[in-house]
Amino acid sequence: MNGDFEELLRDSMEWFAGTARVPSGLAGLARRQHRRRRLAARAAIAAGTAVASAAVVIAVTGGAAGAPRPPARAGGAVQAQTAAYIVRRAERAVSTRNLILEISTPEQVVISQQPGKRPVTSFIPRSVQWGYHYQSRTEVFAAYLRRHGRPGAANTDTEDGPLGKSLASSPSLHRFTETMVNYSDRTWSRGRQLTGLAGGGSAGTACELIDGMTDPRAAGEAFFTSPSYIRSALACGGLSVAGRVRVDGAAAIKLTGTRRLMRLPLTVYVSPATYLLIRVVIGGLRQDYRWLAPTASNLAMLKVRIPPGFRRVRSQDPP
Amino acid sequence: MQHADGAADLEQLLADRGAQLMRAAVLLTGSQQDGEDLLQAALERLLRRGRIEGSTEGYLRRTLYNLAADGWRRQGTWRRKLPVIRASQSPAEPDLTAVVDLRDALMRILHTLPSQQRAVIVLRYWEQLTQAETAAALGCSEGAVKSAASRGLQRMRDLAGSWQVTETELKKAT
Repeated sequence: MNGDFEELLRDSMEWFAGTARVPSGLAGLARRQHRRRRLAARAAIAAGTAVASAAVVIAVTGGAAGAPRPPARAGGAVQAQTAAYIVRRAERAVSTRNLILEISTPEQVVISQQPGKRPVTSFIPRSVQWGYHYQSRTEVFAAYLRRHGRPGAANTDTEDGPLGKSLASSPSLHRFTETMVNYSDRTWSRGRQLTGLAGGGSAGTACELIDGMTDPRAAGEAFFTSPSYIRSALACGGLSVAGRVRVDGAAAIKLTGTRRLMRLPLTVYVSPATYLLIRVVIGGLRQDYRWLAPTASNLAMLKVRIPPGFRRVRSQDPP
Repeated sequence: MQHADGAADLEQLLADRGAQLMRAAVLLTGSQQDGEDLLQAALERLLRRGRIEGSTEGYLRRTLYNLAADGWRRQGTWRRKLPVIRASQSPAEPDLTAVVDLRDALMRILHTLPSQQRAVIVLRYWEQLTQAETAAALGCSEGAVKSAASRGLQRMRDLAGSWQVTETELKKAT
């Protein structure tokens, strides 16, 4: 038992840390930090005697009639510093690769408008989606849609199964299995289809990827969830820091989208501790994010269960 | 005697041995982010030191473990904030996810140990150092290493025991 346990411990440590790599530029960061500390230490000694007289000068300036207000760009400098800080932290944020992403979309009404066209009202049903590596499962609760004039809308439970072989002629395309359970008519189906999974990640900055999107749902799907995407969006000016807020009682950093990223209004909330997404609001569509450890219970949420008595039907998707 | 301030030397050291140091740092802290911060802090110590006797890598490694053992960052990491869902409601059919669950649980338990015990466990079972080598790395006696390893391992066993892991699952996992 002792040997087994120690072996398991070694395996677990390998599993936990086996893929860790030194981020590029760590030595440079250490050198810069070292220089900053050295300079700060020297400055502290030099500044010690100047503190009292500086305080007097500030008091006199602040009390004088018509004293100039702090320059407007001071706020900008703070903003830029905050963005740079968050970019740096996001660069070093935890990898989302080994976490299960849970996206909850509450039922809501979203009004979208394309330039020159009439606004379109969409009723969005409540749904929950879990994603982990190339597997995902979605639960859709469609009672809300049926209440709003879509009687055929089905409560569904869908699962994207593991990947099949990749196609030699087109390495970015993969075949996957989708299982769908329709709770409204008590049927289920399974089909295989192709999906365009990026082979080596998307090229270009965040600003180049989804610029111009006007449909909140399409933009929501295209909104990438990793800290590296947040970093890229901040770096290209697609997101700007709007301050610290609380989301459902939890501390969060609020980031707002600019026209460089998309035309839709965009607000992103990230955790100040992990820089992982907490909430995204795109064009009025709200989605809440949770990141879960891949425990057995959490991984079980990726599996669709076919209830007994449900009838199998042909998949509606092309084979 | 070597000078640690050479930028090229430091880059080369990280290129050659960085992955192993980084993995140790991740194990000592519980996350990639905190591991990077720990390694960066160790590099800063190295730069502050300037000239060092003997191997630069050895000094960096000792600093890494000593910082961790001294409770360099005492606060819980983000992983500890994630909900630990116990496997009491395990799926009916056994599958490989139980192994992931078990490893995840062990790593969480490792990061609840006192920093000195955690450093000893990582040195002994990850770096596979002897008691004497571990004692030299941490600058303490062999007796202290033996005691910390024994207490840490026992604590992990106790906590893992409450995790409802069967002998079969454990053997399968190894």
